Amino acid sequence: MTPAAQRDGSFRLAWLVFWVSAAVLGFEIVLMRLLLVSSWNHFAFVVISVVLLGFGASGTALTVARAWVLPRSNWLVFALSLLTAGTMPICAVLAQHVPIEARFVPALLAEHAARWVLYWAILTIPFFFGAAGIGLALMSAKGRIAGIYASNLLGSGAGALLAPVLMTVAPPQWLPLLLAGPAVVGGLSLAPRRASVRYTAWTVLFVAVTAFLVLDPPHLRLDSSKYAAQIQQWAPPFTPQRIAHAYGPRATVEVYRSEAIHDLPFLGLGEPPPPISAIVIDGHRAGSVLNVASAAEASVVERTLMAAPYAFAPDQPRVALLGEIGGSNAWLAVRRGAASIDVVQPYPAVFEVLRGPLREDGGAVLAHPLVHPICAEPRHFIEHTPNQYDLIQVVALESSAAGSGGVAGLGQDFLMTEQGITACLETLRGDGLLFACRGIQTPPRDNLKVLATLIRALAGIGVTEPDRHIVIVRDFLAVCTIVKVSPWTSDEIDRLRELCRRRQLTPVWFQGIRDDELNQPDALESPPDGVGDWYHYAARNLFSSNADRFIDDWKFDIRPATDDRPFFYDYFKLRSLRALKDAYGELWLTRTELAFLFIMAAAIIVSVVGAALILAPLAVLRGSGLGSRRFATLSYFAAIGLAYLLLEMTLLSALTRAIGDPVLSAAVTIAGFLIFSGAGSLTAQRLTPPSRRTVARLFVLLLVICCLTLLALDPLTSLIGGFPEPLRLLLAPLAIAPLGYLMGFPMPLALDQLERAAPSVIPWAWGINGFASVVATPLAMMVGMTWGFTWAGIAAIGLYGAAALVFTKLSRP
Amino acid sequence: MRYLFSVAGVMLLIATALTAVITAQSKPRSDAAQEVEANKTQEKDQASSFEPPSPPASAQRTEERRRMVETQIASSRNGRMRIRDEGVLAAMRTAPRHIFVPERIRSRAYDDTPLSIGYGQTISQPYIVALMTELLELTPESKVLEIGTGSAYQAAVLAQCTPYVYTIEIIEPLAERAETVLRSQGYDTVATRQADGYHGWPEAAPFDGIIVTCASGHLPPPLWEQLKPGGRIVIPIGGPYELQRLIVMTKNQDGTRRSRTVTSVRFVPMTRRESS
Repeated sequence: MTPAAQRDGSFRLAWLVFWVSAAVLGFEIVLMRLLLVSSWNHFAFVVISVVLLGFGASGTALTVARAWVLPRSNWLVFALSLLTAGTMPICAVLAQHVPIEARFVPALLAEHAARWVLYWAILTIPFFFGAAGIGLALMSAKGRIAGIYASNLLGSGAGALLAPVLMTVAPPQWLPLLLAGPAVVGGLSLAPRRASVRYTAWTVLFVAVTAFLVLDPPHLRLDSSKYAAQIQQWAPPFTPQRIAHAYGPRATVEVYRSEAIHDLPFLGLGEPPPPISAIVIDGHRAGSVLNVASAAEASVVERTLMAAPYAFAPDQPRVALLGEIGGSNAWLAVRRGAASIDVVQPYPAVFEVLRGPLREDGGAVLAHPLVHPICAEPRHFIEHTPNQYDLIQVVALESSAAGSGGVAGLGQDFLMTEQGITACLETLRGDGLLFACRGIQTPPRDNLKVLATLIRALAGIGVTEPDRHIVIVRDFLAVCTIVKVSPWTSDEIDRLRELCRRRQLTPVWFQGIRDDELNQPDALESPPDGVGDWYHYAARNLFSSNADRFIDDWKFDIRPATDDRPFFYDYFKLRSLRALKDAYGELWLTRTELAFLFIMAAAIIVSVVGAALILAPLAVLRGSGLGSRRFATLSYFAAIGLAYLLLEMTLLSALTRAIGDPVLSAAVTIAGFLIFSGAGSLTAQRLTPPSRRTVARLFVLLLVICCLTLLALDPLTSLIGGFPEPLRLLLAPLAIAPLGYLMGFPMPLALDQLERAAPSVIPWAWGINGFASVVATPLAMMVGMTWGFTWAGIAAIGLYGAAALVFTKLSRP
Repeated sequence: MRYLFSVAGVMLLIATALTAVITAQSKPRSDAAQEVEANKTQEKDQASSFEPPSPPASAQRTEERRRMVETQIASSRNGRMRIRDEGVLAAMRTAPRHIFVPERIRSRAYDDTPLSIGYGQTISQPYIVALMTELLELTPESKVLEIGTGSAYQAAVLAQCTPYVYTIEIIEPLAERAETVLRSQGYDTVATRQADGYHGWPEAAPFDGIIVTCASGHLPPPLWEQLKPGGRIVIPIGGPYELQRLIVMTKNQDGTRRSRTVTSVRFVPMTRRESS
């Protein structure tokens, strides 16, 4: 082959790898979105394991079949690309036919476990083909391995950007089909040059897509636990009508109307509410829209628990509703004579439907002259608004979600952190108040975490006696915690007592509360001392000097969340597991917050499966030239894989706060990392074979930049967060550019070493790296949830340091 | 004078007409009152002569039911509160749970677990059925409304305690099946309806007890309205598929409330229930 032909072949291979990588990473993100809409939230996280299975299995297959595949690499890479393209939409649809359920009766565990296995096996197929294609391209790169690797990274980065773009133009069920496009484009670049073959390929493709669309058009089967699935079971005349919908990268929003929809959060007794439409986000109920056209018709909101704190707000308050979705709290503010109402929520699609199809009735509240709809993450908004408020309502907390199996436990929320609430308190005027209502839990956890966070935030603004600034009341549905910047006066406490009597509220905490006022008229279980309920007991302790010990002893994690550990909705304590099992017997699983356990289980399963996929090829690799480098290879590629993802997860968390939108943050951070690392890999290609001194300098530089980035992270995110969104999206990836660029070096440099010493090991090393990257994801979450993401970053520095030490052994004979 | 006679005559005519009208109007009212009285008397008679139904299938699998009651319901296993009400225990021993469960899983009908009953629905585990029934504190005179018929097993257990059971199911096939199963087992006193349970059953109100067997984010105001002073509502409060609190709420004579959280449960909304 002439050099020109070789160059052309390498270019076509790199071109193919770029597009297939884009398709595979795009499909991974899209699959997460699909599962968020159709299934249990945690399943979206399992997609990462699916990717691992695909990558690991492909590495094993290529290693075992090396002798057979290498001579046919061109044809195979072409075929694997088309198989990737074809299986993405087909498997996405096929998986929908497996009747899995997130929640099932325990008696059906075995049956469901079998269905889950089948479900995940089906979804693994496209990743297997995609990874096999990329792996085979790396194997056949012959001296241009760093270039192919760079194409892989750049393509993946492009895929990370492409996926959210596609989400804005097509509904979720069509996305796998659209993402097949890049894989086809890549695959055809390696198609034999004969016209007949090309025409045949296009014809087959066209017929296959048409047949697929006709026989089984893309659809979404919703898990029965989803609200949208439940209401669709209602027979006439209650059959819900979907009156509006909108989709986007952030969420799929639907609005349903039915005579049988009645839910309004924390509604007390009295007249039934007016007709209500339900706002459903990703299949879950997210808000209620009162089908009324004026504040006068919305009198029902006066009977919600959220009306109580208005009795203590200044006249004509300036109000901020953080996380308001349906508008009922905005009606309440209008009725209570607010001077201005900022409705802040992060989903553009929600405002789209409220201002569009619902503008005549339920959405009318947004058109009210006093109401200002603001589409932003509440934390980002509150940190950067120039406004001062008299009343801030943390609407985002208004649900009864405790004990829900930790559905939201993996979600990162930067509003409900110590720093987030401090920012809220700093925007309050002198006599302003902030309040949050949240469903009662048994045993208490969420509301205790709210209180602990408020106490810490008050300390942050210099308050030394938080017990004088906080009052807590409840009814039989929810707890309302109200905090004032100034202490509650005795006159206000008298009015509070009167309010409790008039509205039949149960006092939990205020200065001077008497034992005989507690736990009535709505009785909850009493603590051992018999004084009030557990909420009062917890308040007494949290306000005492004993607070830290109390938090430590409580069976659930009620430590205030922080920006470094932004998991407000995670209440699980591993060391309480035994106590929970003892207390609840065989029902312990339904009483435990599952988020952390789920992540832990995912990490264990992924490790076991991954280890099997790596150890299996080891047997085949006997005599492959790996020799004593076996341990070094395993350690090196595992270390850099772990370190890469640990750092990526750490920076993703921080940049989410800076950018203020988790989906856009994920897209630009992942893409930024991959693209800059791709650039690093391309540079690495020019360095091969590198001298030891060069490698040592590179690793030292990498470690220094790691440390500097982690140290500068907090001021950097605050700085970036202050700019308008387009600038934030531009600056965030630039902030990680130096680190991402340097992180692109270790992999191609080591692959180059291996290619010289033991080329047959490359797919195995590729598999190890993929495996480690995937294990790192749940690992980073576990570290972040337990100690904070800073520790995940520190662990990554340690791992890169270890990799630097091992590197020299890769080239040792 | 003639004029006076004319006025008197007209007034007499008016008085006669008015009397006729009033009599005509009061008669049906009197009939209605009599009917209510008659119904009350009939209800009293029915209550005083109440004999719990003997469903034909109750002769089957008696030993399994006895064991279910002894081990799952009348004992304090797993820290559960023992069910002590003899009437409830007798009802649980009599109502043939297996008949309300699809044939393919009837062998597991008396297990300490919820079971799938088709249509993507489940039947609660026996203990939770007994607990909710006990919390209602029923007597043979109690009129009770159930929201969420589901398999109709809970309605059957209630019918063992009182002849006045009303049950509502929103899903049509379930409502139809419930009607068929209940009639086949001789639970003729149970009134069934396919409707949105949120609005209760105003024509049959007021009720001494209301039992809601599906999770609700709030207490439906119409149900509260349809509860007698002194009556009780047993309802799981909380979000769907979340851990809810089983609440028993009493309506005081002055219309105010008092409530007590009994335990935590996990029901599903409107369409099905799962487990305790």
